[in-house]
Amino acid sequence: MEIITKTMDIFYPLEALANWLTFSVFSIEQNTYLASAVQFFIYDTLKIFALMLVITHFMSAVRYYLPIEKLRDFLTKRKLYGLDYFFATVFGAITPFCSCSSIPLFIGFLEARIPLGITFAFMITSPLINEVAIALFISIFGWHVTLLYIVAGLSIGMIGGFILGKLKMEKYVEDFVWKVHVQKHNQTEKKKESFGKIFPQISREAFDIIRKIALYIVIGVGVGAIIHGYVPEGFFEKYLDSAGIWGVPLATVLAVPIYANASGVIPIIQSLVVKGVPLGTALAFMMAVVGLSLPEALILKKVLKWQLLATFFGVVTFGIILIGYAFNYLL
Amino acid sequence: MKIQVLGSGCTTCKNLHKSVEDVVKKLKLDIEVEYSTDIAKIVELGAMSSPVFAINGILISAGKVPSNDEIEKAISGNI
Repeated sequence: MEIITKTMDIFYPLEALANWLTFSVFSIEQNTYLASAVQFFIYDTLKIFALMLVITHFMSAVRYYLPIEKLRDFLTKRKLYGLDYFFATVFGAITPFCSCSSIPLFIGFLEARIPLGITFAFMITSPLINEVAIALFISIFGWHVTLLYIVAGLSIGMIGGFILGKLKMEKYVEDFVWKVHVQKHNQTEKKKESFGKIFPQISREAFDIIRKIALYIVIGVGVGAIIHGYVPEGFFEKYLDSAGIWGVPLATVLAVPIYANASGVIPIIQSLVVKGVPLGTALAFMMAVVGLSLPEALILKKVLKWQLLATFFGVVTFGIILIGYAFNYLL
Repeated sequence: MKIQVLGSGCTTCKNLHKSVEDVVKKLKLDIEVEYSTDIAKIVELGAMSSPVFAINGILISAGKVPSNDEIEKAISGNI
């Protein structure tokens, strides 16, 4: 648990600012529930947005130089000797996930003759790991847990994709998908331009992402702050103890009907962990919220027959549960 | 000139459709902006993210809503 509460030194100025605002400007008495909630809210919000600013800029730059079409060509043109699964998950991690794009992406990959398993490896990892989740993880749980989370997300994608590939389920992809053919691979032309010219474009994209999720984060941190300030330590342990070993699968299954943005869920998860929910159980819940959602299933139903859709969900659920247990056991 | 906005029906796609229509109106062009949610068409254009903005069957942008200036530049460049 030490890892989670440990704050990083580079954030010290932000912590000092949050303390100053809470205790001097708003003059809230120290060691009260309110002070604890307010200080938490200000500090976490500042820290998250500072990191978000850096990471979204970095990732937008990566995407500018490596658009998804290039990644697809990389996967089709080279012999990768089994490393394809690895690359597909890494590409899934660096591309932003938007359910608007999951279908064209799926069809586009298959049309380029990328095997079904590798396509799934990409699609499993894409919602689990993205810049927003990473920025939130670093600011909330620290580097150590973030790295473990990334490894976990990549593993679920690789193993899940591999299993789905081995099951030979191509016949359960809707027939029209196989009939789509790209008429011309006309890419949007990209002239060689100096970084100074590209930067405003990258920056605009980064701010677009931040704008879209800002409200969710503030609400998430707000709920987290309330839990942080008012819920007694160890509160959840009492309830979760009765669930015992079933805590992880229960958390995973409960999360499926909840469709939420990772940006709102992660700050809440952290407060739950501080108040006694085991980290693995909390992470399983979070991954299931973002990676297994009913609306996403309905969208995928357009291209997958139910047998494949159910197997896909089954494999990912199983992976998330395993990761949940692993985290509870290792940390 | 044929202007197309293709998407999967999400809000981002609708925003793009509206932006493109606004620009067309601003430029006083008598062109109808085709809006379609046929995903096969997106892939056929060579794009893999939505929404897609295309002029005369050529992909202008995919997976984002370009600024009105960029849309205007693309349209006037094709008149």
